[in-house]
Amino acid sequence: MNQHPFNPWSFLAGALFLLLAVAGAVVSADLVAPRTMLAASPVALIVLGIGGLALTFRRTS
Amino acid sequence: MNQTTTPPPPPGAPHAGDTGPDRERFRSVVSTRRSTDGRLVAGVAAGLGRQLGIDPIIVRIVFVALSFAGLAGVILYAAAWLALPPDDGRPSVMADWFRLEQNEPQARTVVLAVGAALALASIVGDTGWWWGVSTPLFTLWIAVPILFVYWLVVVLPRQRREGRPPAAAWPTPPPPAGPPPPTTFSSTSSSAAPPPSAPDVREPAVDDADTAAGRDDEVADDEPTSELDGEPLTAHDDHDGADEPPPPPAPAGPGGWQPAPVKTRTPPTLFLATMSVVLIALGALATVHAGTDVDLPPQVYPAVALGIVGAGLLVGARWGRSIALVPIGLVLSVVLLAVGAVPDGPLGDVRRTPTTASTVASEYELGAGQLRLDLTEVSNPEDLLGRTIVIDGGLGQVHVILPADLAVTVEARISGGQIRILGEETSGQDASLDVVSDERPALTIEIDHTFGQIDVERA
Repeated sequence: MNQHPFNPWSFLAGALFLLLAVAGAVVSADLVAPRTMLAASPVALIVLGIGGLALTFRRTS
Repeated sequence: MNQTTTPPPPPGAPHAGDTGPDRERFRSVVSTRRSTDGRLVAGVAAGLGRQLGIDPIIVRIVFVALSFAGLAGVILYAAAWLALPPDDGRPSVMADWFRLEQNEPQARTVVLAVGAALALASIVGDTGWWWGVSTPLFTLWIAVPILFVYWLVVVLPRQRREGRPPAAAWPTPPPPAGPPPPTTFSSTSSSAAPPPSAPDVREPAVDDADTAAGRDDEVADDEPTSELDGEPLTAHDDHDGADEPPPPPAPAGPGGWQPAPVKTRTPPTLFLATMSVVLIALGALATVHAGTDVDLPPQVYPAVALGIVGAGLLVGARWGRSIALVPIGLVLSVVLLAVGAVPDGPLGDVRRTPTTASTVASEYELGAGQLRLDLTEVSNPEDLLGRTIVIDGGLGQVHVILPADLAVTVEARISGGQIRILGEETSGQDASLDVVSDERPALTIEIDHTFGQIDVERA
């Protein structure tokens, strides 16, 4: 595999999918109630969005 | 959708729309070429639409519709992708993988016939979506992994060893009638194109299977190849393994013009590696599920696959090509959410009528449908006092019928719907209703329902 400049969108998509997978696994194992996970999901989305903005401006500046 | 670039079939060849005998129609289908122009996936629908003289959208709709009938559309499409050669002169996938050469026409007919038979059997016996229930699907469960392993172990190393994509036919072009074309093409220009006569040469203007086979037989394995699909020819930095040297320029053909240089399509290593790990993980999970007493919830499968795809995308942020993993991740996300929305438990009309206190379970489940728990037949209801019954509902109605004089405390919660307990009622989103008995001890019933209705009443 060739190395290329950092791709923030691939990173963000990977992080989002990983979060979804972990959330699904945790809920299916009854470790966390679905309601709790739903309450936490906006925080994760906001953090990911802020990360995306930061990576975008860092990339274009 | 471009149906205007296809040259008319030669005289005497079976033509789309002919109302001839079925055999001629079958020959017409067998001699179809997958379209490299206007394709969405592999060009099967576009090629069939062109061959049959109908809009490819109709063919696509038919494929999709058949896919809901035992995956028949998927089976047919896969067989056509394997057996039908593309219209740019390259041999079929099957011919390239198995080096069929002169046997390709017969093999093409056999594969298409087997695919049609499997699709028909899938429609007729549309019962199984998992191991061994449906013979055609069971066959695919075996055939697809075997083909994948063969491609991974035999075909891919061979293509890498030969340093070229699947062989393409380069028929010797006649001297161009117009002004002499340039003698060489720049390997760094995407505008490099053969002279005007070249597309006519490359287009397989044959509809007869035997004739087409003869043409395919002329494909020499060591001939230079080209995709000529309009993509930039210098996009090596977008591909894995882009550090491979570019292939040598092809020799000039008669007339002085030279085919466009070969664009070596290196395999998407990251995508293949990620999907391989996904397959291994899913296989291991299924093995654990089937071979042990471990009760894996169904969400585990898409969650594990999604996690691996996410990890692949994280790697792809710095190494390799990862863009193809994004749609896979989106599909898996939808699957994960859909599977998670379906509650565990039995489906349909579930009726429980215990006759003694000892046969009353401490927990009842409902996936979707109706759960009717009738405690009026319990011969010794006093033995239920002090006990707790938990009911975990999903979608539908939970209906509990109590003996007339049994002391009961009911705690009910529903994500969306209506609750009616012994004359009291509430409804809405995240609604709850508790009815506490003044007597001690009492039977406690805890009901957690997702959507629908909770009814608790006395006989």
